[in-house]
Amino acid sequence: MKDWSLIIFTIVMQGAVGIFIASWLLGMLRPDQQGRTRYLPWIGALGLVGVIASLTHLGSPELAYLTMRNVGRSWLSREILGVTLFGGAWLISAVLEYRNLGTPRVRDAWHAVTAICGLGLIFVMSMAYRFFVVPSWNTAATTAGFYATAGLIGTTAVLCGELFATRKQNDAKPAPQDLTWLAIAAMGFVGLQVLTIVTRGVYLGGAGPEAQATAAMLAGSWFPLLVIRLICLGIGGAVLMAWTMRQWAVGQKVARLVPVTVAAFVLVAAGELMDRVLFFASRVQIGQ
Amino acid sequence: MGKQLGFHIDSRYCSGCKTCQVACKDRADLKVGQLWRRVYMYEDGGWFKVGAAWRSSVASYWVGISCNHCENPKCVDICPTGAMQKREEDGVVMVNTDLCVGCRSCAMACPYDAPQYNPDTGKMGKCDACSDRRAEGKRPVCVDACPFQLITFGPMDELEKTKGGTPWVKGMADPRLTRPSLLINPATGAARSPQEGKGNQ
Repeated sequence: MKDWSLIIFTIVMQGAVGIFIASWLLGMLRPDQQGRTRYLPWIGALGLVGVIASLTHLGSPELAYLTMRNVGRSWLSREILGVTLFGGAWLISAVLEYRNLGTPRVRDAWHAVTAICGLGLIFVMSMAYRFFVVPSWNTAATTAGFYATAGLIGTTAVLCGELFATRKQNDAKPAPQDLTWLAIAAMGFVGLQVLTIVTRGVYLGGAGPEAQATAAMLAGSWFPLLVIRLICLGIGGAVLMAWTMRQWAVGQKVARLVPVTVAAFVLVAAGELMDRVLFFASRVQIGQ
Repeated sequence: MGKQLGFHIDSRYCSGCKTCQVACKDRADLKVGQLWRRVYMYEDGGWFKVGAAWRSSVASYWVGISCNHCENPKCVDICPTGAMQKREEDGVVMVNTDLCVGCRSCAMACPYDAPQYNPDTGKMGKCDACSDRRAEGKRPVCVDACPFQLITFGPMDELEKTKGGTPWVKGMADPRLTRPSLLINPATGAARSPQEGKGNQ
């Protein structure tokens, strides 16, 4: 497997965008200052890991500064531009929050700009993989799958973070009710991910011999990993989230919910990692 | 743009000796694993039943290709630094190694396996149709090396008039995708129908 740098880069950047957007939306719903800054360092750390991973993929990383020269034609150039814009916007968001500059409304307006940069980054990231030579990638399911990854990692990570923070204050406290939308959103992203898996499967069956070769790989040597990935997605993103919501409804203490949501996050993140491994490992290029 | 240059291969008589491949590798001093010109053997056909008998249509043939200096080169589109460029004067696709960052995206986008990564330099390399030799008035080294003189390099319109051929050869990518500057006189059974391709451009 020679694509680890790209696997890590795409997963962590999508995770960073997902966490930023989920935490920003949460910050608008419950204006507590700690909550507004809780995830910013993690997002920065993920972005840094992503950039370092992407540099390890280059044969001449010292020339990385040249990679935005072909923005007019190359989706890869646009992807680097997207990373730069999202990184720059995140930095301004962090400065605004840590220095407490401007009113919360002004800061939220800037966070919206950062969120749009993040969503744009995921789009150009998906387009960098949508070229005809790899038919299994050249489908809208690639774009939808990347957004679903961001949503799944973002919602489950922020849910964990909030429950951790609540437990730190008082572990006998009931779980806060205003977080249930995160669990609902996570289940929605499971639905989107399942939809992309089904549409990709249908597409692979009818998109030429290379796509069918990919389908054969997924149904053959990579099938066990595909099954484990689906189990992780189903248990982490759907079963445990549904269980959490049920416990919420009966006023369960936060201390009991934390281990379950952590398990959900770990399963979801592991499932998305496996999905990305399958994405790269099962590619078959036209003419080769 | 000047006249588009390209290769013509008379595959009907290719014996698969790979002299062109070795000459190219030697001239460019390529290490193990890198081949800017490659000779592939394709196998085709099978056994089919006619009445009570089984008949064979098994065939094999050789096809030699390098970079096809496509009219619509995907490697140029995808390159983030602009290192991969299509030359105005003759349509030859060149890689500027001073700009190449070694991301290998061109290799991912090419359906002919033309750009190849050199781990020693951290850069991509590919056939430039022996630009240095041609500047001295010589022919590309693969053209000179072929013992049967089956490879011709020149303006595509002239090659088409004088040699004929088709880019539709079984085993190769649909030519509508990148419009390769390549014409092949295919071996028996190697010609492919344009109607087969889906032409997903």
